[in-house]
Amino acid sequence: MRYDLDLAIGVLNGAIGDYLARRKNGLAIEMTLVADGAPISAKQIDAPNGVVAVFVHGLMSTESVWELDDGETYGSMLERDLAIHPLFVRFNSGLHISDNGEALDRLLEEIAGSAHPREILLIGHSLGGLVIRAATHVAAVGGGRAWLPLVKKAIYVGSPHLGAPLERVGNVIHWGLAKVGAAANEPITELVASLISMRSHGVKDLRFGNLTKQDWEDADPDALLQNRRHPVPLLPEIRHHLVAATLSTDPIAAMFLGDALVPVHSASGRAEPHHRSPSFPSEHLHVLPGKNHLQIAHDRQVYDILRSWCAET
Amino acid sequence: MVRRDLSRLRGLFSLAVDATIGGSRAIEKIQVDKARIPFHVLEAVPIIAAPVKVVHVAYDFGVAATHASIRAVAGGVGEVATLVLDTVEQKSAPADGGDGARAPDGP
Repeated sequence: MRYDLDLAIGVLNGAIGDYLARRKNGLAIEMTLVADGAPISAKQIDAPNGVVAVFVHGLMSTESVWELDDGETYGSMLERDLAIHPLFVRFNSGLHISDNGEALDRLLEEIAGSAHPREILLIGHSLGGLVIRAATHVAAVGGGRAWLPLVKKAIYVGSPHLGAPLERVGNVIHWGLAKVGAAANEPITELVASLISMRSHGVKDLRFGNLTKQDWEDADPDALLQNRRHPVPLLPEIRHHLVAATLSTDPIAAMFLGDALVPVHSASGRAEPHHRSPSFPSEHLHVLPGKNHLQIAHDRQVYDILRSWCAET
Repeated sequence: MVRRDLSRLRGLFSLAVDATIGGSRAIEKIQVDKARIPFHVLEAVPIIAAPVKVVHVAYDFGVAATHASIRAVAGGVGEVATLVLDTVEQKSAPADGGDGARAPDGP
């Protein structure tokens, strides 16, 4: 029951979490570590091997997304197979990715200060991968962080590094309805447009994969297909691993459909100059056919890939 | 844990009140805007213009008053719910003084 309630609140936060946070609503989630569904503090971390893996979930989700049918998670399996201690983050995925990046930066600094790990692995699903990139960027620009030198690997599972087409479609529909509603003085069309526009900052950041405050500050969030991204370089000290999935096993269909939400070129970070993003190295990329966007957060085949990456020195 | 549940319940009530008030405003705007066109057409007919204007004003007033009542009741229910939750929170405070984080394991 509580599990379902937490998930429902996670979904609500993804949809309108910026509104909830602005109104200081009790349903707004604050970024925290969780274990067995309950918040824990960084002081409670017990990582005997000194290696921790921090799992960051995606949009409209909670840490439950990592759970396989048999109750195992990538975290529990990594702990059993490689003695890597898992830490699950829960956060308000409706906030700007840059805001969540700053919160993750603070949380990781707390973890480094309290648990004194010798290595931190960062693993993000979907939007969670972008939050990880935002956090590393904030830490690199700010400097003086204890946690950043401890990160050797970051793993992005189905993260839309170049944005998500579904959000771009939402942007176009809203823009069209708002224009038609205003021109025809049609209140119902205007109402529908304003309802579509209520989607959270987190969702709108996925349009082009915004990572920094400068990407959205002083900009109209509903402007038509306006890419204001500022390139965020890949930190050379971190090895960046990517998992992309394709719903279809047919190569042509796979190219268009991706994993149903994120196309392969976005999940694999194959950037062109107009994307305003660095291109990810392809040697640490795995493309899995026949899997959907949510499935890759709890899949044995994906775990085998993750384990092999985590075991690499 | 009780404090976290109460905070969520408070948030749920607040969201329900916000949704009711926001929805009422949106529906009021639609009802007034939609009625404006036929009223304007009828008001252009000289013989019935005067009584139609009266009906138009009465209609707009009726719609505004109805939705103002809905919003007032929603706001009132929200206030009562807050008071009830405040009382419950005060009574449960000694039993649950934590912030929701688990106590560290130890002797």
